[in-house]
Amino acid sequence: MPAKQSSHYFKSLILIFCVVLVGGIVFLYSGIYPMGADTKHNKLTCWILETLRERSVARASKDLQVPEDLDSSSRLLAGGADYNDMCTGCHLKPGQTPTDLSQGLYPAPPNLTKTHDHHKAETHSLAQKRFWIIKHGIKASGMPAWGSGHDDDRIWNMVAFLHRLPELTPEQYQILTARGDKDQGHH
Amino acid sequence: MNRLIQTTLTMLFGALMASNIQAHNPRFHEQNAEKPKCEAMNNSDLSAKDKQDPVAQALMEQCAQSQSATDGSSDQHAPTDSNSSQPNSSQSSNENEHSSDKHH
Repeated sequence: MPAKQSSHYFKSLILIFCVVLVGGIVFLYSGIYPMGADTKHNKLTCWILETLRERSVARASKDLQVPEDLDSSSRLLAGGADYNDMCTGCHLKPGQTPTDLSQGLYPAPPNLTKTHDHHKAETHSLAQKRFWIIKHGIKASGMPAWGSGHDDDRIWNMVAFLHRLPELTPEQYQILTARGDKDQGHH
Repeated sequence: MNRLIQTTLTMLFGALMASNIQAHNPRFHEQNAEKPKCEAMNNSDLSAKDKQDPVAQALMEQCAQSQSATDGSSDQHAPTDSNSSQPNSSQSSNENEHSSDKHH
């Protein structure tokens, strides 16, 4: 009798698996999933995707060696100009109102000019994560992988600049990011 | 014939890779590059900032570079008469101030 019950149990499991699989395939090909960026994910999907992203980035970046001179003026100057050229369209600059890109992208790109309050240990892991994200990008988010055209040192410069960005006034930002008369020595 | 195709493909691939490496060369931004507006520093509370702070150091470094570049270009056209360089004297003193600040 227990063997018969067990067999019935496994048949039910296989049936459920097949129904879910077929249902998933039908859903995939039906085209009824709303793909538009203006239709938000539900809370469960948001949580799954964010957890997947955060855990993946944390695992991939945990062994990165952060340069000791990350908080140096030369890195700030070199990274500032690149941030201004590459990032402000989505991540904004001090005093800038939201752009079409920053409002239209989904998931919304973080406003990197906002103040963050991290402990020192968190700052270290934040630097690692930021380096990894800038270098490798994030799938299906609009964040490109800049590593193909930028060496590691140049990416660390941007990480250094991001660390101090929230405390800059618009005037200080303009000075730090202007390429103006700067030579090519920073790169 | 095969060799010609191979050579062409290799050259195309090489050109593609080279353009990829040059994807974000700072030289591309030279034409549209803004100059640092260091006059805004005079009205800011930078003097109250810690001179050891990398942000303060970077601001002073940037403005000192900008000022020396401006002085360099103006020197090429400036007359040798000391009175004629008077209008720049306040900027020069700023530069000296920034330069000395850097060594704190």
